[in-house]
Amino acid sequence: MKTMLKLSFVMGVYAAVACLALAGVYLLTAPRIAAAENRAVNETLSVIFPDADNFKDVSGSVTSPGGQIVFDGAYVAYTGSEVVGMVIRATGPTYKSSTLLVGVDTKRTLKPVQFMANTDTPGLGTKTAEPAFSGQFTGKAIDDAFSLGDDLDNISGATISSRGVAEIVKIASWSAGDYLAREHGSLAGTGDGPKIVELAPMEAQKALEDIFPGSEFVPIENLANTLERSIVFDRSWLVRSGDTVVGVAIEARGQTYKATTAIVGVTPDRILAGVRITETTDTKNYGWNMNDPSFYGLFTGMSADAPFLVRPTSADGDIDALSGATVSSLGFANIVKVASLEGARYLADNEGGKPAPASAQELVLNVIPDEQ
Amino acid sequence: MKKYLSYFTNGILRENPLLMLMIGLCSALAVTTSLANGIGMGIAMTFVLLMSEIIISAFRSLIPQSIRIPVFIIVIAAFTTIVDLVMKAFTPELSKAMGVFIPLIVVNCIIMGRVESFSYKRTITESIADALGMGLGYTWVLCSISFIRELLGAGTILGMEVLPESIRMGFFAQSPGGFFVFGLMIAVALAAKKALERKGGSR
Repeated sequence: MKTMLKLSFVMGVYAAVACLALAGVYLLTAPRIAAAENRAVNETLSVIFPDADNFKDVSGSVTSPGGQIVFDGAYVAYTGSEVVGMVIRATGPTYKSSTLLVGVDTKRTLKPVQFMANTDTPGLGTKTAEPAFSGQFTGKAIDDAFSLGDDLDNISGATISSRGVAEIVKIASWSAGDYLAREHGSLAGTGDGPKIVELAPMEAQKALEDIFPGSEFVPIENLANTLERSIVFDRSWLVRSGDTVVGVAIEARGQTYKATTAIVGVTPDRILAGVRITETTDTKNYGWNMNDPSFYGLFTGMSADAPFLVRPTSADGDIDALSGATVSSLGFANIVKVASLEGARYLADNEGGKPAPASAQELVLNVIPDEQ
Repeated sequence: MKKYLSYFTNGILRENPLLMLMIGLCSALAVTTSLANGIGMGIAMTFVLLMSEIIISAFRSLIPQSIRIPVFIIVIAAFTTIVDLVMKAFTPELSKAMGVFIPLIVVNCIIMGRVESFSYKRTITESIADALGMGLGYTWVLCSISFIRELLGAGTILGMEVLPESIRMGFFAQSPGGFFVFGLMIAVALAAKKALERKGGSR
């Protein structure tokens, strides 16, 4: 007991002395640190607006429209009493993350973009900070498309970084232009501004209601996949509207780039009522983009007997692969094909649905290449 | 006097923490992409090592054996935080370039190792000689690695351009280049140590 108290006391004394020393150093350095940070920001702001003589901090009044991009600060640049532009400090995901100062003048054109931090791969993603890439933004109109390959050049080997930086610049500059137009009567923008779409899989219940609005879903026990072993049916539902059967919904899981689970809805006429993704482990920015309605929406209204072959892997296919995610698209098309055929078969066998056409061909699936 | 000199020179080559003892490597490989980083990290680390060794050595009779490790950690952590704050206040550029590696000095095994195996048992003056030697040993290796990596990888020395773009090798600016240069330095240092031993007899 005595030693315990003694040891605790000794530890306590050391800790207390260390705390006091740190508190002292902190008090001495805090003003200098704050000043240094301020100076760093002001210096970069002056690089963006060399003519401005005063920057007003309006950080509280501008917020990011959402998504993963965050605004850390916002400053309005003045020459005398005249507003000459605005700078937003924005942090967002690139390959890892980048913090940029994005300046916009009152005519909705971009000032040189300044990098405050960039934690992407040295020699690859960090090239976004070099003039060859970042210089492209200087003088660009913020109403432009900011689309890589069209009005912006990509960095080869750093596509994700390039795309991320373009996205941050687009969002921040649009917000700045918006603020200037609203608060200081500068030129207003044309169009709706960039949309933030948070792509994510859906809950199963929401997916079902999305495909078959206002219907009842009765679980089916005995609907199994007899066509293809690699795709597994987790759950299935008979869909009713009042007394009429309006379709079958199947939750099917299979290989994409990694793995994806989707709910596929088929009507008794062998038409796809819709497809929704409920889970996927594919890569963000690539296979993950399957969650975009403009991709899965392609399947709505297709016949269950369609080939579901993906271009350009199959030259005469009927579905376009998601750009940069061919493997994911191949696997996803397979899942949809198997589930819709089985759903249509179930409806034909049990609920008087339309039978398979006589011309039905042998099952041909997309071939998913082995990992290199 | 000769004793102190021997403690001092010990860390520079014969027991160099990076090249011979091979401890504290992660920071050495991570920050050595530019010479300025190497110098800054070397000085920061030497300061923390020196101050910790002095304090531990001065209070060694007042640190009970059973709780010495937590006390060491408190002392090292305090000095690391001081360095971090001071660097942020006076050299914000450098502090930004080194990022998390300044706070990580606290878990640098060179410091823990020297405090535990040396200064907890020796006098203050001996500890000072040891800390300066080890610190210098760490710093010169860091500076050499970062000099080579900055020169070949980015074509600059302390930010001044010396090599044309066409013969730069981005490889050296990335982690594999760090391992590569570091491995070569170990080889050279071992060869130098052997040559010295042959010359100086059994020592």
